[in-house]
Amino acid sequence: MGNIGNALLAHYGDYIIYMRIFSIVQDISRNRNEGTIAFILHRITGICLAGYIFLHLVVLGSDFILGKGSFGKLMGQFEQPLFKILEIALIGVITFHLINGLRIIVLDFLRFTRIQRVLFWVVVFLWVIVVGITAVVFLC
Amino acid sequence: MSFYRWLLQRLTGIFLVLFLILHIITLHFSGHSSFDYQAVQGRFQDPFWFIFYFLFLPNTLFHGLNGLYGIIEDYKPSKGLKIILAIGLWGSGIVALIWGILVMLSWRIMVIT
Repeated sequence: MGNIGNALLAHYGDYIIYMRIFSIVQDISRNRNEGTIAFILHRITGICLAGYIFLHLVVLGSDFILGKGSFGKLMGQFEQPLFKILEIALIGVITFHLINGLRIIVLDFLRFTRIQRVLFWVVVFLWVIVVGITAVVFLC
Repeated sequence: MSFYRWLLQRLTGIFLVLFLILHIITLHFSGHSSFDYQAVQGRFQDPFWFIFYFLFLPNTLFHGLNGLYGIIEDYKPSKGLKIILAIGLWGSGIVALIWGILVMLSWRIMVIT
């Protein structure tokens, strides 16, 4: 029992990490500014997109898994109105990560750290325009 | 090591901006006929699109998985967890890359018609 107890204790730090990942609320309350909002949104959209890559690859190879013609059937589903909304949401997530990613690159390489808060609102402004155009194109 | 991961995250990010704009415009803003199996196979007969996606796939996987590693790393994991994580992420990335290349080759060579 002693050995198992020690082994569990040795990994206790890792369990704390798992808990901390979900303590985003704490991060916001401790550090209330635009940078934190940008950081958290970038992180959440990033995790979603990393998951999406794998989903995307599995769906693209559906003919390998489910047999001939299943790719076409799956793609046919995307004509439904629900998928139009999901498509807009997907483009919204991608474009936020993309535009805020450009903000991060600008901050890192051009040393624009002093105007990072203003740049966040520039990101939001550009994002609203892009998502607005996407919604109009897709729904009209 | 972490410097190169930081730098590569930015470089792959810049490539992703260019790739994704072209990818989304061709697939989501050109009508859903671009989703048809024949249209997809047709695009992959063009060397431009084949090479485009051949470069796009590892670039995207690296950016995504390196990003996930960076997120976990932010919470100060133990050395053992870092190694397990690195092996897991590299493994899943390589499996996804091989899977993606097989799918792209099946479209290029038109194995399934």
